[in-house]
Amino acid sequence: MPSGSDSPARSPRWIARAALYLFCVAALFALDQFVMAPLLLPYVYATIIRIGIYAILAASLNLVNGVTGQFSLGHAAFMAIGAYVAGAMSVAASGLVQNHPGWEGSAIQAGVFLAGCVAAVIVASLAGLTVGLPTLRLRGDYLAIATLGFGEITRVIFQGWDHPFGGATGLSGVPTVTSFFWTYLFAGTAILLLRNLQWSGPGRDFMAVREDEIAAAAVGVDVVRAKVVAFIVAAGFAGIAGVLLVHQNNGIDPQQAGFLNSIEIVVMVVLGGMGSLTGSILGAALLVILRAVVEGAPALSDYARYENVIYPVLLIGLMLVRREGLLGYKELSWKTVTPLFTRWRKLEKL
Amino acid sequence: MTLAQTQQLSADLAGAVDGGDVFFAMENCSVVFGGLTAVSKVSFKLGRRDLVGLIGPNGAGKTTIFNLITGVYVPTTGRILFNGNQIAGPVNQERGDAKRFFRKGSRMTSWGRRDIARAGICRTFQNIRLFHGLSVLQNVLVASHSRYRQSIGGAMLRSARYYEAESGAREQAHALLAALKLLDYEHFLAHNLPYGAQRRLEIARALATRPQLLLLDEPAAGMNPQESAELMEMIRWVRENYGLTILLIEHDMKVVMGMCERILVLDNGCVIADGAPAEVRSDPRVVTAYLGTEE
Amino acid sequence: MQVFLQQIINGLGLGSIYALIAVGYTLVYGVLRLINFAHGDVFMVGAFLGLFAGVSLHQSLWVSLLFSMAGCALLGILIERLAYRPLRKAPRMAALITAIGVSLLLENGGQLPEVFGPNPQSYTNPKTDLPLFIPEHVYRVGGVSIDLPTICIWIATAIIFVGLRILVTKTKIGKAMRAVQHDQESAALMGIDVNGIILFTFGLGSALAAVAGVLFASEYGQIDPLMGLMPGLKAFIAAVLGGIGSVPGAIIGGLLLGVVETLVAQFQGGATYRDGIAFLILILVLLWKPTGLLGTGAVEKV
Repeated sequence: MPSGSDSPARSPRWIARAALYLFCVAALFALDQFVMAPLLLPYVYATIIRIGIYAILAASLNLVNGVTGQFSLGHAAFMAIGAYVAGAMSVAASGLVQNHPGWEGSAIQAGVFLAGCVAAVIVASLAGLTVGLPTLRLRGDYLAIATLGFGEITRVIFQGWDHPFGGATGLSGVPTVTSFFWTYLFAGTAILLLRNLQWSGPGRDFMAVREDEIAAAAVGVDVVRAKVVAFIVAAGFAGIAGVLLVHQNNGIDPQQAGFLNSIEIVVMVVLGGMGSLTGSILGAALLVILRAVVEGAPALSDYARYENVIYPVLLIGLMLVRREGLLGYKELSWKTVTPLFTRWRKLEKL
Repeated sequence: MTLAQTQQLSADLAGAVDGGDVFFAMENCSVVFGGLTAVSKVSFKLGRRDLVGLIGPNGAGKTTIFNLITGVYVPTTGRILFNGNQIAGPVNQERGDAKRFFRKGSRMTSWGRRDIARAGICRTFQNIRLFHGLSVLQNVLVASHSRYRQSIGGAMLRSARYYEAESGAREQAHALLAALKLLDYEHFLAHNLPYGAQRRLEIARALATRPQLLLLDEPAAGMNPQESAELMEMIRWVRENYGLTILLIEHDMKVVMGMCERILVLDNGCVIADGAPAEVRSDPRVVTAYLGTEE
Repeated sequence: MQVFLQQIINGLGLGSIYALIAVGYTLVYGVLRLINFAHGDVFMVGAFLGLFAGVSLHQSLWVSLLFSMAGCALLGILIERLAYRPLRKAPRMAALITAIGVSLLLENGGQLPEVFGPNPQSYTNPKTDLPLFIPEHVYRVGGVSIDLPTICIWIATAIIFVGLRILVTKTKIGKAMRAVQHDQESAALMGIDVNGIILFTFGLGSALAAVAGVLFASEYGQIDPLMGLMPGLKAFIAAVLGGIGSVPGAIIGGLLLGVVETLVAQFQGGATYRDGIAFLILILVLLWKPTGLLGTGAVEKV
């Protein structure tokens, strides 16, 4: 993490920063090649990847629900849009490759995957714009319902869109590209960018909108712009998560754009503490692990059916007992976690 | 040239000249809420560096006037001029405007709240409206963003421009916090500040937008005499130091009389007196408004 | 033309169900300013309770209906008491999240084999294999066919509408409800038992959802734990369309939505876009007239 927010007077040299970033990318690649992929059980490996994907989803939703104080119940739709766009590209590309012997190879796959990422971000961000603009006038529960409606509309549209998205049965035959390396490259970058955004001028504007829209406008904050930008940025990152997910699950179906999937992401953000970036990541990790353990451990197979009851109970219990989530949005309870983080805490507090 | 066109032209010229040399003017402004006239034909002007008190009994329409100036309400009649711009008032429908078909002639408009803030008018609120979950420093920084702009991409990638804007904003914020004796609270959440400090923080936040006209809505409400005396001293200092025009609503006559050079008295939505404190105090209408008529 | 008329009739049947559920949303929103997300699931529980009373307890329609209404009223009151009341002073988002949680709990809990089980159950008498409560008579009027369950739904909607009108405008408890709707604190100062009124409203709305559940199940013949999800959301849309907080608005919104949905499904030749239309209507209403057809807005206070 760059020590930006603490002493903003001097900018670190960009060459140094780029070198550090590239070093991290290389280290990540090596970690995947030599440690993660060969040593871990496939189930554990897949779970770790899911943690990364859901961390992106939760961290980006946190920008809207936690930092900007809007309540979106349609985040899964952006994820699905990204997944469909990139998935369809990969399927089309693998069709082409089959017709041209000699074109096989993971390099081409990775290239299409990256192109898919770009396309997914663009399309999902545009979707974020189209949702953000009309919903600006709405607050609280009305906004929640409108975004829920957007998610359902997205689901219905994909259900009726046969070519190239497979209609009601969804998209299938997407090659497996997502690896530990790709997931954590994107997750790490997304989280870094989101952190930078939250603890900067635009991020403070978002928080001001959350705290008091009238006062924010009165001191010159562009409330409309803040909300739309939050929606667009969050949607773009959700699109990336969708690309990763579709290249892990080899496909996606329209149901995943719907309400229940969005709720799952909301639970993660709420669990971690709305407004706390680190909290969202923690919430995502905890819930993915919980799900993996309940589904994967043979000793628990008798109880696996209770899995879906855990979410709502967790949600209600949290609201009744600890509304601010595990960390609370001010990220102040770091001290209680471990003194290792005290330096961070200073940064986050500004 | 027809007579009507000539008249229009001379009216336009008069408007331009009129708007040009006036710092702030409210002309014949009224607000009607569903039959209830909250503000009725109010006119007054403010010059640069004026320190003017706006007083009147409860429900006289003082806060409504602030809401008019800051674009919360659109006036029903009249117009508001600021630095040669009309920030609220009638606008002639232009050719090709789709709405022309529905509303003929001129209609009343106002600039948006944000645009007014950026043009140089900032306010505080009667019921304190701080960003409670943000730190004191962050509260002030938010208000400086229209001056020290950061792009989204620049902020995410921590560009050199970002650092430049951020450090500029922080320097200004620290200066303001020091001026309003808030430096010790810098990292406190606004929510946790003592009451008097919250009022001061509202002023610091408003100053961070670098206003030319500062509207203070009962800044000393709920303070004890000593605190409010200190605050008034601070307000006077702010005016001198930043060269501001200040319009201030206050209930406490003593406070206002002591510090303002000019006082506007509002009753039932009308300006009933406008002048130096001594004049206003002896004005029979003011006495009647405050004490009622003797039957 | 006949097809069109037939679709209108079908739409009004569906719309009446929406209307009955929407009334519950509107009542609760009125007193608590909370979207009770779990309302659609109370409707589902109502249908299951009716099935239980009819099949396992061998009761008639009326007794089953009363049983289901009582059960749902109790459920509604429990939900309010346990999940919503502790959060009444909390930010609205917390209450909203809890409401979503309660909804999911009822849906996912209902799917457990110990409760209702995940599979659809048919709403028939297991011995005769005939519809449980209301026989499937079909009447033909001038080329348009109407079945008995639809007529029952209409009658129920009409009775409930008139009953609610009388309750809200003429009775003491109705006046108290309106007072709480207007201003909880002042109502409390006037000696109104605000908590009692809120509980009563929850019970009433849930009992109406139970009626809708039993009638819906009689009409469509099949129930499952997720059946409340879509009708619940649609009914909420109906309530927003009519103006949330207004009982006549909820009825009008429900009927309107039912008709529009049915017509869209007819024109498109399938049900794919039917769900989308409802949400599109919702977004358009929220943008164009957030207070709905009959609602009144609140003024922002600065």
